[in-house]
Amino acid sequence: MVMTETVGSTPPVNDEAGRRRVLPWVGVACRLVLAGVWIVAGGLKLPDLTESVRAVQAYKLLPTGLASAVGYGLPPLEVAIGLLLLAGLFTRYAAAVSGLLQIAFIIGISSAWARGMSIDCGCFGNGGELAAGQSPNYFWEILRDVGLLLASAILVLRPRTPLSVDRWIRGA
Amino acid sequence: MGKAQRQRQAAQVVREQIAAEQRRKRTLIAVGVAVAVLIVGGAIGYGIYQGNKETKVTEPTAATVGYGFETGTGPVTVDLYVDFMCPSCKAFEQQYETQLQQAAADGQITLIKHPVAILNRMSQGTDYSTRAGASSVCAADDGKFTEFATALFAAQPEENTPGLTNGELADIGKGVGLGDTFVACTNAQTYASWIDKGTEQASEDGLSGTPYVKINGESVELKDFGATLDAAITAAGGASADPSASTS
Repeated sequence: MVMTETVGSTPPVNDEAGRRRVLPWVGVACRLVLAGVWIVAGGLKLPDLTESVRAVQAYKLLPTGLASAVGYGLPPLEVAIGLLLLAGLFTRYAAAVSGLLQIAFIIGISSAWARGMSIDCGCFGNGGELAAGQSPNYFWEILRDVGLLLASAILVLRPRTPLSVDRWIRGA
Repeated sequence: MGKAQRQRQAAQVVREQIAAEQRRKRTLIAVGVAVAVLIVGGAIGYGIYQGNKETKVTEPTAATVGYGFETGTGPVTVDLYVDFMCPSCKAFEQQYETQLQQAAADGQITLIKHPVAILNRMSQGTDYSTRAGASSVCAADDGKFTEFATALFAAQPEENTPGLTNGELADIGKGVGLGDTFVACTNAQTYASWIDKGTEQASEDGLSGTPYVKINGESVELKDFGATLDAAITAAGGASADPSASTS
């Protein structure tokens, strides 16, 4: 294998050194996008936790008691994960939880779609059954969650990013 | 191995130990800050939770069953959860109310109606769902819950409007024969927190939208309600409640 050494400007993604320069910033972008989504999603649900409970009940996937617990517990968890990713603290673990949650949501929404249900995903508040005449957005919701899952996976595989508390801890 | 090499190796080991010590210290600081944030957040949340719990909930003088009002004593229990601003609840009322009242009168069912408030965001900040629900509890105290509920659905305001004022609710009540106690109770919104607590309980019990019905404790899809009700009544030994379905 020939390793070329170039001096001066190089297209950033066309060689090994270029990838090492760009990838960490992809990681930061993933952290910031995920943090924004989690903090907003959790934050919008915190003022009305009973509505969050109803959103989970609407899926009819969990027994009512467990659905209640998830409905009450998910919004603060979302905010916590968002804050960790924003700070870049314990990034790999926060990203792993983020990815697992996205998998759970994709399964839930797919299940509702497959059963012909008509519900709002409740991802950013609201939720529950849709009124007559409103159609669900399952495809776009799943697509969005797949994207967020990919961002989480990137951070699980490459958790070391610049501008992070993790990096400060490492002393890098 | 030469002395210089040993010295270099020793210095390397010391450097690594210092670095590891720094990582440990910094990890502790970061974890400490994170735990502090968690505690503060948890304390704020807990404080709000306690504050809500202490909101005085006035219990109705009327008899209640699971934050609902009961009609009839039949063997089949029908729980119906309605929000007075919900158009599907009005449609359900128009389709089934007569049949349900008849079945209760005939001793076939015990009908329990639960007023809930899940559509407050549709009344532009006036919380119509809670106010109408609270007003219906005032009507229950004077023994006219069923008539008042029917009248409320007949006068149902559109979603995304401020809904009816407390004065208009009082007038509807007077229209079904309710008096000054009811009017005062409606204007004071005595039972608003009872409605909110009932909504919370219903949400924990599976409510995700209205109307929500359960027959003998099992939730039932709206499209299957008529058939499931008939089957339950027949199973309990009564004739079908729907006269058009009788076979004789």
